[in-house]
Amino acid sequence: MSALRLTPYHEIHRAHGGRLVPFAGWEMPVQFPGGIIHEHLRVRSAAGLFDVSHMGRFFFRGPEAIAAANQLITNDLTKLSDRQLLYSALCNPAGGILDDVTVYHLGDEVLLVANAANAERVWNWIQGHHPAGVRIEDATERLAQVALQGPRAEEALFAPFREAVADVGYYCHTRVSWRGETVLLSRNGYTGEDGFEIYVPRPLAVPFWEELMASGRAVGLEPIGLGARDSLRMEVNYALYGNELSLETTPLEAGLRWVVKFKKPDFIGKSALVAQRDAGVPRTLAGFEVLGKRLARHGYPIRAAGREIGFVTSGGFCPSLEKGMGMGYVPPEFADPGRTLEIDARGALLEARVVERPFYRGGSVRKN
Amino acid sequence: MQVPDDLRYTKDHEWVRREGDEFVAGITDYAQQQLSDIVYVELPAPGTPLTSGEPFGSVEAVKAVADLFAPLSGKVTAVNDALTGDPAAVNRAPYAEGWMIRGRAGDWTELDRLLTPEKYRALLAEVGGGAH
Repeated sequence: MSALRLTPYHEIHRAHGGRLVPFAGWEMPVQFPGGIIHEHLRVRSAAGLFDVSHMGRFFFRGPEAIAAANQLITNDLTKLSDRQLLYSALCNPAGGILDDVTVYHLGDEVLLVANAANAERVWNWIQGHHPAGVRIEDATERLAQVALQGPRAEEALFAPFREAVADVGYYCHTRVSWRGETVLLSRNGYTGEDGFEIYVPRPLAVPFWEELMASGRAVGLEPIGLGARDSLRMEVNYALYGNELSLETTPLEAGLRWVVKFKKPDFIGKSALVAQRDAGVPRTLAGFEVLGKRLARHGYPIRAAGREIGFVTSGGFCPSLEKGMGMGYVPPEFADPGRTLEIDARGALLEARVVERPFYRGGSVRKN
Repeated sequence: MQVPDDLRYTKDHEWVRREGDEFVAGITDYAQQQLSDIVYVELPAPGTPLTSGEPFGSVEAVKAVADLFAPLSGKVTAVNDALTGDPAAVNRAPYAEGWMIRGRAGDWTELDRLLTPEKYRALLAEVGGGAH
């Protein structure tokens, strides 16, 4: 048995009754005893704390750090101030998605956060593509990472963090000195709710979690597993690598055109994406509601007009809507809201209807 | 992890109880825990023939879908219609309100070949389910 990597919070998860499962080489909690629906609704109504320390955290340093990172991503880091971060795709020369990432403009350095499943690939890609003058660091072990999400996330924070984030806008960050170390917080997330991604130096990782759980108790803060993380993001139609995103899909197909900045002089994958923009995409993501009680699942074929036209990328039960929903790739002519599709659920055909995205619009996420 | 002593079990984590000429079946505590939040149970109509080891329905949970396999051959005589409005009963009480089908067995000797509670506990220990 190959050893699974453990985050600094592994023992805490176990003590909370977390069901620990292998995930991208790490042992992570998929849920706690309350269950996925409970956790999902807790994040929508109050606040939840996610251990996302399994994600890859990579720094670029030196005068050319911004330019070096910018060459790798489709979005444009040069448009940011040193208080901001962005979401982006990271493409290969063919425009295929190597990963989707958040990238922090930290002034003299850049932090790029990659999905756990792609962390090794992204690190190799960075090592192969950074100019000689840029120093890079894999800080995955040096820093823990947690996501605090929910309408009461800010209230859950304790001093000095709560005060420090008061003026921090959406997709902005701040650095806070705590017990002699620097903690980085940004207002963003993966749930459709207000909240923060927080990076804590490893020696303080556990004390930070414990203080936060204690201060958040008053607003109902609970630890949340990866199961609810997935249902929360699906309900607001955020893409998941391995589902909506892969080497075989481009950001234009995946509904991520907004993170492709064609005005940038150059970035890896630009020429392929320009060509696809001009020619038109062969397929696009559609969101659908399943009529009836059965659920669509990742990988099920999508049919229309008597033939297979695509496949489900994510599907399941949306606890806030109490409905079965899903997303999948279909030719653009089948992606209009109101269009009827069939989902092949292992031989049983489920009727589905294309709907507007996002599915869930009641979230507390800030737009400024 | 509950494994009641008065039931028989399948390796697919279903339970069966003989009640006179009929049997009642559902999924085990281990199965409901693995599936977690159950949101829909698809069951056959009364009268549907059953073949042991063959699928007769499915369980939709938030994270996954699982087939239900007939523990015995025979015929469905009734299904638990209450699960339509309250599928979470399977999570709460898999051996009671969470029952799934009632059936008439074609061959009761099949029951003797199902796992005893001791053997089922041993199976759970093997898959790591006994530790919780």
